[in-house]
Amino acid sequence: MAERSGSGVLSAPTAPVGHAGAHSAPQGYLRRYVFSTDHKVIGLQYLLTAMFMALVGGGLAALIRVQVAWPTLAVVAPETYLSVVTMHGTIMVFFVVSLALVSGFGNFLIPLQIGARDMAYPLLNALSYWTIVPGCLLMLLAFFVEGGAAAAGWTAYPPLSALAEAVPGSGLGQTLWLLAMALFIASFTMGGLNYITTILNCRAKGMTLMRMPLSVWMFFVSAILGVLAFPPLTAAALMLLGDRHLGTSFFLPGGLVFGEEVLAHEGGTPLLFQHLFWFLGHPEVYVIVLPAVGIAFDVIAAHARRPPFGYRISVWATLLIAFLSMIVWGHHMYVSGMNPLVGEYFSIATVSITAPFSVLGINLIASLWRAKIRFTTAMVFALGIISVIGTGGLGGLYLGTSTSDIYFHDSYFVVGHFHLMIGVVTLMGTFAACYHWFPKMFGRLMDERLGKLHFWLTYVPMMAVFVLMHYQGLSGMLRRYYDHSMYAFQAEGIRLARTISYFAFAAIAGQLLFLVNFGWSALRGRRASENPWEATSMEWNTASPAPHGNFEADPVARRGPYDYAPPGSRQDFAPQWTA
Amino acid sequence: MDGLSPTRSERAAQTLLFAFLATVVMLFAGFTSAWLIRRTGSDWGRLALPRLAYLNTAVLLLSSLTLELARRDRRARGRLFLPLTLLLALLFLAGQVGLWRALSHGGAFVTSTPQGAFLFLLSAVHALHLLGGIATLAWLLHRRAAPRLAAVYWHFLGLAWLYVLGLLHLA
Repeated sequence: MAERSGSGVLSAPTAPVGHAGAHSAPQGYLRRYVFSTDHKVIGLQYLLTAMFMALVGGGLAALIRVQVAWPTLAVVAPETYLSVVTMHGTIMVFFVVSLALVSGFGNFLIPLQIGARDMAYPLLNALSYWTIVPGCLLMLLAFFVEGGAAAAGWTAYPPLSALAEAVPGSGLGQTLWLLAMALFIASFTMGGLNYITTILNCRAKGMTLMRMPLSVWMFFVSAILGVLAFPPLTAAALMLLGDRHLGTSFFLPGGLVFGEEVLAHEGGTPLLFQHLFWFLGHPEVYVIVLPAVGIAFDVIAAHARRPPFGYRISVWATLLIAFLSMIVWGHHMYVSGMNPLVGEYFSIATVSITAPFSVLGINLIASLWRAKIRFTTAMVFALGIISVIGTGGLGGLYLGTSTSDIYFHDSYFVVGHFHLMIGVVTLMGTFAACYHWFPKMFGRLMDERLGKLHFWLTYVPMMAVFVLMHYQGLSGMLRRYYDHSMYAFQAEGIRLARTISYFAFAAIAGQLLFLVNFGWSALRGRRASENPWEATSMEWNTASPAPHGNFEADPVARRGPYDYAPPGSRQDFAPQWTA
Repeated sequence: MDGLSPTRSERAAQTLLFAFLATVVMLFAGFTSAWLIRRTGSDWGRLALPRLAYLNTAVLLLSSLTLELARRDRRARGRLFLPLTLLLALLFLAGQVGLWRALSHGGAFVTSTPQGAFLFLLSAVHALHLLGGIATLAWLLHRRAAPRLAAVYWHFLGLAWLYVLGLLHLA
């Protein structure tokens, strides 16, 4: 490819768009499909990487469900169980959901939807992808080193994560975990900076900010949140490395005893790490949930044949959510002994997010009012998102309020809640996006019958699993226990464990069906026209699959992104590029 | 749109730079909050900075000045300022290494006191960012290009170092 690859990231005296020649696609397999700087190829690479990591994360989920429901089988050793839980969480949050939804579809959709030929910095984009690859490998390598993978939870709280001798996984496994996360953060930051720059500078003529699809808005806000919230975690990780390998005491208090020996650390505080971690951890929820909501808006508009309700209000609500999400991290730490007044503040701030988030939910529902719904697979997944956000959001009220959270903390209520929000909502967003934009990726449609089956095997079992977990939590069952049956107080909750596991296995089987559909449809699916859904936003103004350089001629946005059912028109939609 | 127009390309580079600076600000904000919490620990004391620290600071600020001159003066004479800035930058880095060595002899280094740990960590993170700046300046020199946004980054790093020094002083 004839990009000006020498252009420095900081000075960039030359054009940042990655191809000087008009639409000349790069020649050769490697430049075209492996070391490509084309945003669509990179987006797809992220998506496929996430699918691979999902197989690992899903396998770990199955192990957890077997262990919890049939502890006497002892499928994993007690010390390995914590590693399994830790790695399941880390892989799913960062290496599956973030990669597939934010990095994958963010990359694929942003330039197409704003009418750009590529990202502002295609080389930086490729670098971002090739930074995450070693990150994934290091994360997986941790399973095979002495002591096994990290076991301090996906939150990596010290002292478990700070003392190499604490548990077997605290050794090399934890170091690899930190290195892999460092690569992830570096990659994600490069991606986020590119998104922000692209959206602000590379929009097509006529594509004002308020003419961007809501999906692009949500990717934009998510990128801003990501680049602002990740650095404090980087700071925490560096200090953690210092405590682990240089003998500093940022997070380690004095008087820690290991075996017979009093450790030399003095004066640090583990709570500091919790604050820094959750300063990222909470916004990260919105980094991955908001794009799913944006995708739901886009998909619902196209398949309900009407503009989304309250476009502008949705944009402002999203900005408000982003701001609030950065000042509520303490609600993850109510039991850490914080001043009740601080807890009061975090409760009020957290619950106030309900207001703008409900606005998004209500706008999604109102978008269905008097709509001519086409029940495609993409549409049913988008509808599922509304349902899961509502259900998951209800649990959030109890966890955001300190008085009830102190009872629920570390119970299965929490596990059920966050899986609904950052697991099911985001997965369904990814699926809705896959089914909807598949034509732009491969020029083919995914199989609808398999798709519907996939939907029912996702929605029903996943809702069952995580709603039932709320009941387990209510009865006092706690998370991260190797064998719940050893404790009388958990006897009530454990009775649901096998039922939940059966539903979980069904959900996992449903996802395998998706992988089959994805692979089969990419090769053999029904051929798609340029605009098979009769949709209005800019990405449908080009061939399926979208060619290198995205558009034949420079696109111009002549109207809003959702002009469905325009008055006085015979067609029930007016694409953004038509006058 | 075969490449962006020069003004758009310049704007894109600006956006990228300022967004990146925002991440660096947040990184130092993270360290600052750690510093605020950690200084309430029982083992917190005063850190006597050797004179070298201030000498280094002067060198870094001087490099900012020379880079600014290089940015403004595009004539032949101005070309001298860019290599001079690079020299000063390398001198600053050497000085920082000297600072670490001096402190480790004085027993204030990484593990013995929390202030030493903060000094090491913050100056190391700062030095890493500086290396990126040095690479950019070297590349500009190689391309015989005039510094524009690189100067903004460089001044920012100067301010960041003053901030770090201020924090350590308050300790």
